[in-house]
Amino acid sequence: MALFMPNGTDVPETDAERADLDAIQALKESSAIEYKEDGNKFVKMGKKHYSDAIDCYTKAIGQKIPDTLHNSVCYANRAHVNLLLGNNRRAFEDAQEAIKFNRANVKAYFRGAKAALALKLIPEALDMAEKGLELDPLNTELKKIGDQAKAIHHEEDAKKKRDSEALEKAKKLTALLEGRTVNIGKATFNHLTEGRKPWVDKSAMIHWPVLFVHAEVMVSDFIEDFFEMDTFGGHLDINYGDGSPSLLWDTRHEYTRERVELYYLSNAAKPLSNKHVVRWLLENDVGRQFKDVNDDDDSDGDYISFFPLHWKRLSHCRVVTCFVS
Amino acid sequence: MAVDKDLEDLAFFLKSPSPNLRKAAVEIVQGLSGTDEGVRRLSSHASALFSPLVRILVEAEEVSKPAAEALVNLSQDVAVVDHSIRVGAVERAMELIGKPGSKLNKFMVMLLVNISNIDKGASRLLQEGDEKLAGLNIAKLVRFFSRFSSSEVAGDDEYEHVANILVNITRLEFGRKVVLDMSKGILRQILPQIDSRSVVRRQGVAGTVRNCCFDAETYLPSLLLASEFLWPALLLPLAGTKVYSELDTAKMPLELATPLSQEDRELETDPKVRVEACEAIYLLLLQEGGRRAFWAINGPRILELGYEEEEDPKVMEAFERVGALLVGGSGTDEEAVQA
Repeated sequence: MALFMPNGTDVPETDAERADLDAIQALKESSAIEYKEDGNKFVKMGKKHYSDAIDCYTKAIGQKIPDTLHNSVCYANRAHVNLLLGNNRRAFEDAQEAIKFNRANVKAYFRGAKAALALKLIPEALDMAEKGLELDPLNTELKKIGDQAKAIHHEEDAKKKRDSEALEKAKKLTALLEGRTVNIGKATFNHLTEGRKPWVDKSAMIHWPVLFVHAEVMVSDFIEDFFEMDTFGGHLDINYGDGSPSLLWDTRHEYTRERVELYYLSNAAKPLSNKHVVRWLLENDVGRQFKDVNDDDDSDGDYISFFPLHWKRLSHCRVVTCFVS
Repeated sequence: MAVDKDLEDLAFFLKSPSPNLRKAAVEIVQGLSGTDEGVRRLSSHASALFSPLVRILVEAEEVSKPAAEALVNLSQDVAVVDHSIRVGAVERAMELIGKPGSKLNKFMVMLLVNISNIDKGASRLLQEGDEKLAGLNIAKLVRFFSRFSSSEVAGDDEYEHVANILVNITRLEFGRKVVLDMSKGILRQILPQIDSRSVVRRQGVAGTVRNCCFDAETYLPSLLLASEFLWPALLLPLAGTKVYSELDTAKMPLELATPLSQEDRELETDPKVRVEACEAIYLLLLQEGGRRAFWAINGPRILELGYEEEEDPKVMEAFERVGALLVGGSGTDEEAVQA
C-alpha cells in the first residue's frame, strides 16, 4: 500500500482507493497528535530535552494535517521552546505561523511579542501585543510586554528627536560662523578645554571658549565664556588686573596687567569644511573627546600652511570677532 | 462751483497738446500748491490733476520742475498720497531718481518722503511682499545717499532727504528688517553720515538707528556686528567736548579712543540727534548682549562725562533713563553711572 501519493495523480475512483486514503489520513492525524504530545512531555522534562521537543513539534507540523487549531498549537509550542532556548528569530517566525493558522491564538501573540522584543523589532512587538490584548484584554503578561515595547519606542523616538535637534543646532551655528567669515581648524588643546565648543545665546550672539597659554611656565587659563563682543583687554583686566586672585604658579609676581603681552598664531590650522565643522560641534563635551579621531580628517597628514604662520601681538582691545576672522 | 470749474479747466489744460498751455497750467498749479488753502482746493481734484502732472515730469526742465514742485506740495495731503500710490507715483519717482542730467532728484526724494509718511506708502516703497525686489528701492536710495553726501557736493545736497525716508520706512517692521539685513549692508552705509554737516542727514541717521533698535531683541547680531560704526555714531554725539584721559580711552576700541583723545572736538549741536542717540542706546541696553558689549567698550564712562556737560533738559532726561539701566554695573569692576 503506497503511503505517499505522487503529485498529479488521478482522484481515486474506486471504493478501495478511497478507503486507503482515509486510512492514510487517520494515520497521519494520530501521528501528529502523538508527536505533539511527545513534544509537550519533553518540554516538561527540562532543558536537556528541549531539542527533542523541537524535533517532535517539527514532525507534528510535518504531517500537514488539515486541523488548523492543531497546527497553530504546534507552532506556538515550538515558538515557546525556541524562546526558552534563546532562538528568538525562530521563535518569532513560529509565532507568525501559529497566528496564520489560528488568528485567535493568544499564546502565539504573547510568544511572538516576546521574541520580537528580544530582537528589538519594536513595531512588530507592539503589533503582536496589541492584537493579543484585543482577544484577551486582561492578559497581564501581554500587557507587560506591550508596555515594555512602548517604553523602548518612546525612548527611541526621544533619542531621534534629541539627535535631530542637536544636528539642527550645530548646522545653525555653522551657518552663523560662515556668515561671520570665521574659519575653524582642528583643535590643538582639547585636553585643556574639556572639548568645549562655541555656543549661541538666545540673541543669536556667539560665545567662545578661549585658552590663554603661558608658554614660559606651561600653564594655561581657560576662559569659559568669551562673548563675541568682549574685548581681550577686559578679560586681561579680570585675570591679571588689580583685585584679581593671585596666580599660584606666578611665584615671582611677574604676570601683572602692565607686563602681560598677548600673542596669537595666525593661520595655525587648515580650515575645516562646513560638514566637518558640524561634525566637530556634535562631539560630546567630555568623554568622546578622548577617543582618537581616526576618520578621513587625517588624510591631509601634517598641515603645511599655505599662508605663513605668524605670531602676532594682540592689541588689548581687539574684539574676538575681528580676531577669529 | 466756480472753484471746481477752474480746477477742471486746469486739469484739461495740463493735458493740452500745446506746450505753452501746459506750461501756463503747470505754473498755476505750482502757485496754488504753495499755500495750505491752495493745497486743500487742489486735493479735492487730486485724481484729475495728479496723473497729468506726473506725465509732465519727463518733459523739459522749464515745465517738469514746477510740476515736480507742485507734486511735492500736493503730497502733503494724505488723500492725495493715497491716490498717488494707486497711480504708481512711487515707481515713477524711483525711475526718475538718479537719471543722468536730471534736475528733479531732490523733488522726487521729497515726494517719496511725503508718500512714505503713511504706512501704505512706506510699504509700497519697501516693495514689501515682492519676493524678488523687496528692499531694492531702499538699497538704491541709500547708495545715492552715501555716494553724494553733502561734504562732497559743493552745491545742492540732492539726496539729503533720503534720511527722512529711512526714518519713515523704519517705522514699519519690514523696513527695519530691510535696513538691518546684513547682506545688504545698509546700516553700515548710513552710520558714517552721523558726521555730516547736514543736520537733516544727522537727524535721519540717528532716528533710523533708534527705530531699528526697537527690534534689538530679534536683530542684535545685525546691530552689534556693526559695532565699529555703531558705537561711534551713537556715542560721539553724546561724548561732550573734553579730552578723555588715557585711563579711559585705554579700555576703548580705536574708533572711539582716537576721536575722544583729540582736542577741539565739534559738539553735536542738535538736541534731537542727541536724544535719539540716547534712546537707541537705551533700547540696546535692554538686551543682555547689548549691555555686555556696551560695558566692554567703556560706554558708561562716555555717558558719564557727556552728561556732566549736557544742558538741554530733554537730552538730560534721556541720559537719565539710560543711566537707570546701568546702575549696579555689569559684574565687572566698572563704576556705575550716576543718574
